[in-house]
Amino acid sequence: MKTNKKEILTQALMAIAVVATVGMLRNTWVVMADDDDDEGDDHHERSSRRELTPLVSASGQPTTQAVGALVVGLTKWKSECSSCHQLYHPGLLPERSWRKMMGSLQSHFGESAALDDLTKNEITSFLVSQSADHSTARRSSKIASAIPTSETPLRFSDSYYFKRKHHEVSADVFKRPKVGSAANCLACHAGAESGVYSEHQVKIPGPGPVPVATTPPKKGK
Amino acid sequence: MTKLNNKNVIQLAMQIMSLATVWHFIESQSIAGEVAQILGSYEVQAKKENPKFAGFSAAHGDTFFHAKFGPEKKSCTTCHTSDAKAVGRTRANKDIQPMAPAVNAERLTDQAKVEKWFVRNCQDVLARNCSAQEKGDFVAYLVSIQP
Repeated sequence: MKTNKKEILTQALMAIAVVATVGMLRNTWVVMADDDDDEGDDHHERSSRRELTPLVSASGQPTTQAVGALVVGLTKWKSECSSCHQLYHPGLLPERSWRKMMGSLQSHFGESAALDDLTKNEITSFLVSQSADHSTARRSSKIASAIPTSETPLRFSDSYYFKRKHHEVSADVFKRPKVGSAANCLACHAGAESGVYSEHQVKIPGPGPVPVATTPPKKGK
Repeated sequence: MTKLNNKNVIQLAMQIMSLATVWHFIESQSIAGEVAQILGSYEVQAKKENPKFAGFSAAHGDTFFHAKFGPEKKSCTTCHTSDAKAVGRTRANKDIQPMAPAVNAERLTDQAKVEKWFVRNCQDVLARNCSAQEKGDFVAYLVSIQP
């Protein structure tokens, strides 16, 4: 009886060790695969510094980098700003862009996204704190410095940084049914909502219609 | 261990059934309570807007949901599909969960959320605010939908 228990315990510990090792190796692999993105000076830098600040995990949970007072704003940003569209990372646009956007929610890209003042102010503070010109993430700094101070873009896809990064992507690709428009980051960057835009994780969908399974069911009344 | 006899089994089953009934009752009351509160507040406003207010109508709500407005023929159904029990789709390609509480228990449980979406969607579809009568009719319509 005693030996049995010991054996089971040993086996369990070994199983845990194997799972943990595989998990660690997988993370290492992702970091390594992620290595080269920007041209030039930062080839050997750790990829995490080059990505946008991770605010939500792939499963949508706030990360440890989004702690304290940030979490209230983050939670509201996440719930309010992803009801109609994908969650756009605040590090993609500078403070002035977010302030302009949050000040014109009654007509938000042609639709009303009106919010009560409290929620609006909480989300604005959060967006500003993580905006491209306030973020410490390398990619955000590059985005911010590529926008002339005279401009206040509301679409990241209008920025010079976006255009430079997508120069090899033809207009037809953006028009593919599975992509729709340049606003659909998630179509090619699966990690977009958690701030991962690494070139090595890009997967461009082929031409052809959207699979039937993802279109809304069209039932008769 | 005591041997389970028929009497014990029957007693246990009855206890489980009565617990389930109580739980179902509590649950249905709280959902109905929130809907009643939403309808109640629209009723107060509707009476202010129209002294001849004569209650809300699910049939009018149904007509309103399927109506087309303005030169662009905008409609609630543009995004929500013509079936309030179906999953809709936003212009930006996100799913909209069904609106009928019969198939989506989260609906009509948060008055502020209901009002937030009336404010937005009425502007988008009708280019004006909806009246309390229209809102109440529509809520009554959603509640009337069977699974």
